[in-house]
Amino acid sequence: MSEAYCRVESGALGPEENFLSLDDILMSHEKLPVRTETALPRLGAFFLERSAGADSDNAVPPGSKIELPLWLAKGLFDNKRRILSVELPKIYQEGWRTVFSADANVVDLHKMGPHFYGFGSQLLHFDSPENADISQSLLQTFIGRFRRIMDSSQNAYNEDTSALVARLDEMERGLFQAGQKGLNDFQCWEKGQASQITASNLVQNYKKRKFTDMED
Amino acid sequence: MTEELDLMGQDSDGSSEEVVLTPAELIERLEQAWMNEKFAPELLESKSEIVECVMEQLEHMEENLRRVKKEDLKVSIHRMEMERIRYVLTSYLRCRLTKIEKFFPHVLEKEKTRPEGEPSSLSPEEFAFAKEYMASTDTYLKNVALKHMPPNLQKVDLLRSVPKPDLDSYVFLRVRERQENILVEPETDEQRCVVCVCVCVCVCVCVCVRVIHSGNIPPSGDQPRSANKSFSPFSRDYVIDLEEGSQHLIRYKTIAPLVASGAVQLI
Repeated sequence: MSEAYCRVESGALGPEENFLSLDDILMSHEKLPVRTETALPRLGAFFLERSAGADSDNAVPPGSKIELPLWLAKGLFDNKRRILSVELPKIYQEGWRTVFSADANVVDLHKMGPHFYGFGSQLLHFDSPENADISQSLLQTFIGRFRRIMDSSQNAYNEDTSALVARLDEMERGLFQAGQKGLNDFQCWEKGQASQITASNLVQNYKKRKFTDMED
Repeated sequence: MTEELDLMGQDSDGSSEEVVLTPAELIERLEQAWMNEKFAPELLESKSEIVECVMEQLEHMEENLRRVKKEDLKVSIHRMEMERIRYVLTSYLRCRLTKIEKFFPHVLEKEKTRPEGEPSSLSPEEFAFAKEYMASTDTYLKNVALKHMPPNLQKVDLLRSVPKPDLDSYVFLRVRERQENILVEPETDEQRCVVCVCVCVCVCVCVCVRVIHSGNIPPSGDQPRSANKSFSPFSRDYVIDLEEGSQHLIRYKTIAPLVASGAVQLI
């Protein structure tokens, strides 16, 4: 509340992502393997190895497997499934789901796509028959990992936290930073620095002229 | 400083009735409005009469202090009290302004479609601020990005792009008047399940962060704190009774009308 700039938070965990959120824009840029059901005219320029050639309008033939970013796949996906059918990425499938249910803490979620939870929540839009399992798995993974995040964020004061956040995905990192900020603010308050006026972080980079310059 | 104040209330047919409040009660009402505003996810009704009375009261106290001769201790204690009241007041106004800035298209839309007789959630100054803010954002987006786009993409629907206030977020509350038959709705949507638990555990983190952060004045322990806490994440449709003095963690949407009427206090 005392911040000068409030960013638009990510809506990816909710029903729909937020248009103005930078995190959502980055998240929806991740690729999704997709199978085309009809020919996609002129997209062959981007997918040269799948293209049907210049004579048939440079189209991508039906039935080919390509990788599209999430925003494009969501836009093209239709319930009557005329244009494409989506395959779930590996980490949301059965094999990895059992890994997560065995022990969620050891998995390096940053490597598995840095937006594991957000991307997974938006995947539920594609009406796959495994939706219930995916959402359960996302939930249980988070529950399993949450306690360690909370513990480490509340007890790592003035230390290098790179080892702690290395295996967290973006949403968990956000939570970790919220915890760290709370801890730092509390320590600041204990030391009595809370009542000192400091420069706002928006203007700290402005190079102000020094007082001596103005005297000349 | 124990003069009584007249608080001008208005009822629906326009005639004004006077409710007499002691300054202590006025400050308590201000604190309640402040805490409700802080913890509610949406912009609540504008309590401009409380704001005006508190400002009058502060001016009064300032005048009295100027007239009194310099006995250091009493004067400095009174000044400290004035600073604290002023802080609560400004924090309340700042909280409202932050929410207006965050949800500006929805706030203006709500004001436009508000039925007659329902109290406004914006004071006249806040309304002017919201309109100017919207106009400035529109101009800014147009000049920076939209006018360089191809002609059919030059509009941004702010009402759809700016996120709505999340009325499903969970809030802590204390019950001040006993309520019966509150309908608690279920979480049936699978996606909502993910949100819901993530939100719940995030709320738990935020409780630690928030208690430290917000400079919360501890609530006066007049009502007995019963150990009656209910936590309802994945509930079916059921009906609960809220006992007086109990504390709950519940979705904001369920109890929004109770907050507006003052029957519960957000903590």
